[in-house]
Amino acid sequence: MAHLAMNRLTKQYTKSVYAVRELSLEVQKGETMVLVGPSGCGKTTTLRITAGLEVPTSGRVLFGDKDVTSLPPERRGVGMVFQNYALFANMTVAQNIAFGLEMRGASRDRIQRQVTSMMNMMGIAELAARKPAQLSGGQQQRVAFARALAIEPEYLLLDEPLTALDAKLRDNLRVELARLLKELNITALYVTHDLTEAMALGDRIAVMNDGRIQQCDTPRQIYHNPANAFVAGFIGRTNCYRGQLKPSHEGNGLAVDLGFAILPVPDDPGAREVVVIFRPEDLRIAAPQEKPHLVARITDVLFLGARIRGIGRLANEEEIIIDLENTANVRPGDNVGFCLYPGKIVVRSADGET
Amino acid sequence: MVLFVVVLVSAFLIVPVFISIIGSFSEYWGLRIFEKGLTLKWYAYVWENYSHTIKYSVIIAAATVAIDILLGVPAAYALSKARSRWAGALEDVISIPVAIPGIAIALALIQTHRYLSGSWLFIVVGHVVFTMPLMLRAVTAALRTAKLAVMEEAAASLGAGRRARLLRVVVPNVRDAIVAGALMVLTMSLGEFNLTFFLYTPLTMTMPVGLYESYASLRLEIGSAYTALFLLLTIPLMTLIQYLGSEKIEGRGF
Repeated sequence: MAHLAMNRLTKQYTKSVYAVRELSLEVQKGETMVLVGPSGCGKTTTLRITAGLEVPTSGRVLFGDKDVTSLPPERRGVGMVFQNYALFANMTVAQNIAFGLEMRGASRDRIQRQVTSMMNMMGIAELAARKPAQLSGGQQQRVAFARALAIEPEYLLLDEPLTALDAKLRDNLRVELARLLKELNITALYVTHDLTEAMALGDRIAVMNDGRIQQCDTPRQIYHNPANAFVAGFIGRTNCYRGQLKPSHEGNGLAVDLGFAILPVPDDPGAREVVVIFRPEDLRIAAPQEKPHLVARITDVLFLGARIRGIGRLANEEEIIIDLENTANVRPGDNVGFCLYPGKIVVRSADGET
Repeated sequence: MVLFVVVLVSAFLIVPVFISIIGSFSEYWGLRIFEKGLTLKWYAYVWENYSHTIKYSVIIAAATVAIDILLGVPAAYALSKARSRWAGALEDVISIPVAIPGIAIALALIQTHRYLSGSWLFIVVGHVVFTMPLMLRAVTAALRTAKLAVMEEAAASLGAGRRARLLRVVVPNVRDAIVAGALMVLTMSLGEFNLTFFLYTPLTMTMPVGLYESYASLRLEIGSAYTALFLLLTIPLMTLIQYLGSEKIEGRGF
């Protein structure tokens, strides 16, 4: 049984405005599930429903086998970390961390011990007597973590916890956070719009769009095997073209006809109208005698250090992005033939395209 | 030049009061102010005949402040939470008493709360009607600017129910606004004349009404002594308001 489950959650604001539609998701004990998607995709609403801060229009939230859908937040016992920290401005760091335990009627002694241990864990012991306004953003976020974890919650809900921090601090805290989540072995639901964060922290990632989960899988699967063009596009730079599926001329495989090129494809999406998806690094320049899969007129060449990124136009004027080794010799204006590495191309039904 | 203007304006505001206070030490203020010498007897007279007005003024002001806090803070909290447009309209309606002459409010109260007439509570009701909008304004403004909504959510996630959230998180974070509002209400209540004039009885006379009576029916010197005593009570309060206000501006708000 899943440790945390959402069962056909729907949050509807008006007749035609939905935040979340028929969303089902299961999180296993100790797992970090990242909800990722563009703003307005419903990820934060899903998190807030899980916390009890919003009530779903329909559907259920289960903690283990316990239905908590109608339980107010104060009776759910989840730890929550907010984007803007939401520290109590009137209390010191130590008082902030102690708050949850006080609400639970813990003994003075136990509160003291727990607060000390939390502050040590987050490396903020020397800040105990400070007020939130006297702390930097990074320090505030550490306090927010300590406060959420002090109640030893079974579930940790994180709403874009690193977004308000500057880039360098974010990188450091991300590494620390990944370690922390593993060590605590806590069931976590993590909302972010930042893909790198999702990849680094998630045991699994649920990519959301338009109130629905588009794909829920491990970071590797999502990256290499996106369920549809939206996921592929969201999870990184991709090349994505419409075409028709047909039997291959060579052998007994399948191919996709783009109109100006025919690409061999590994699997059958079960539809005639399809999209083919491949990443910039899935291409190489064709050898002189080799028949290229695609020919592109290069328009721009960007030297990125480790790689060269070429941007070009296909025969139908659609854009293509190619990442090549930094020794590759391509110039704007060149017509270059490219071959796809076998097995890298992904084919999906065009119906799922958004 | 600027200094000169400042001094001039200050003088314009303060000199009349100052002269009045000087007059309170005069035996007889005829053609010249100290025609017949100095005396403290007017103070003695005021203290003897009007000390009960101080008592009533303080009791009424304290009761007004207490009611404004006990009703106003939860009401402001509810108003700041309400999202409907009715809440906005209600906020405007509550402010109406400020724009109505005290006399009109007094007449309306006499018609509404006849059963209270003669009691000092009658005056308290009037003062609450008159001062509550200010309390609400001060507190709702603070409730909206502080990041309270999200702090409350955090408190809820940590197990705090509605009551604990209000007392442990909301009130402490708008404490400055409540204190400032309370002091403002206190001064307004102490100085209120319009309304009170229609609601008082000889037994529930407040200081401003007493002051009026002493000026109207007795001597100018007595009124002046009365004014001095009045200022003795209100100036420390005003100073405290100024102090709290400046403290906030300097950003010692946390």
